[in-house]
Amino acid sequence: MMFLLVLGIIILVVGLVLKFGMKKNFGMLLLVVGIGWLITFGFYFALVAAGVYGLQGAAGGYANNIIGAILFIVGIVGIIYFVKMKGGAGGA
Amino acid sequence: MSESVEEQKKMGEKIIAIVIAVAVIAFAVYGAWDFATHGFGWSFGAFILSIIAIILPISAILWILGTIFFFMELAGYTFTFPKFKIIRQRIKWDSMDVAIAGLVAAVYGGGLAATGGLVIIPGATWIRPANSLTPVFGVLFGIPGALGTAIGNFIADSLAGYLGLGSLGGFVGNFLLAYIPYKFMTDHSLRTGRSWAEFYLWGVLINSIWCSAYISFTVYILLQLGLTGVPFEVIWGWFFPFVIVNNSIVTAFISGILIYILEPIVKQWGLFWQDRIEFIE
Repeated sequence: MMFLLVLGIIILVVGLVLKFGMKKNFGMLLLVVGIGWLITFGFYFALVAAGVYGLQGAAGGYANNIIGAILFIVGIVGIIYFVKMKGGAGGA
Repeated sequence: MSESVEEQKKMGEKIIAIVIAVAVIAFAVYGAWDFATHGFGWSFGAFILSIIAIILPISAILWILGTIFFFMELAGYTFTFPKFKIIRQRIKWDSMDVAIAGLVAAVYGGGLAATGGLVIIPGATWIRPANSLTPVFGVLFGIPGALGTAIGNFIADSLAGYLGLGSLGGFVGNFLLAYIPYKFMTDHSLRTGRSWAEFYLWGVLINSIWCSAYISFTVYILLQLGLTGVPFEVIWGWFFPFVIVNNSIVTAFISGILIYILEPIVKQWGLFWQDRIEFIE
């Protein structure tokens, strides 16, 4: 697991250097991957700390399902909000 | 006269689309029925193991090609299809592309985790209706959508308790699940027979096989390196065919309709991938 975490940090740092140090546009792509990677590990450590990592359904208090449902709703609402913020239909 | 030829051509494309769609749906439904009635003793698994000498090298080729495609796209290069040519591409990666990738990751990862209790193979996979979103994200949003799909699967792995070295295979495999229809379909509109035929071929069947082969071969490599305890028979007899059926059954029925409805809306919003990418020949 440590290997994956270190890999995520490396991707994030390379993305930061490329984007802000070398002004390379695709550094943002690596930055997005790196941030997503670390958010993943945020969930992992939170579930491990709560003692429910790897426990499915009722055994884990449906924690993963609830977090998943919240993420799903946040994503859908975020898309709608983002589109409206950008000007909505035809205004993007 | 030429109008009549055009009409005949369109009719021919519609018939081909229907034949391909029926064949792919029949394959997915039979696979799901076979698994539901026989469990892990299903004929798909036995069949794959009986031709493993063919499956292994094909999976190795798909794994190598998939890895090349993934890193090419990360490095800003792509290829044209059906006429193969390697070209450079420029994606803006402005706030809109970043938002697309992030929100796709949230929707896909959240959608997968919400059904995380429906376990099929402990430590490997579960029933995943959200997989129906992968070709939708790829066809509509291109690389940011495919990247969001990859991150979303990674997040879902951590929430469902499956995070491990195999997740690296899942990351690229799910990228390919969205990338293959985006890259290989020549008409993304789903307004013609040809477009539907391409969708069922690339967006339901081939992407499911490619994704499954990619993840299975990654786990197989980990097995060879002594980094996983998943047995050979489980990887190729259960996991490999199950992921194909699990992906194709939901995409065959849901994804096409979603793309058909969302494509004009996404274009109107200015989020369609073609409006946000520049190819440099």
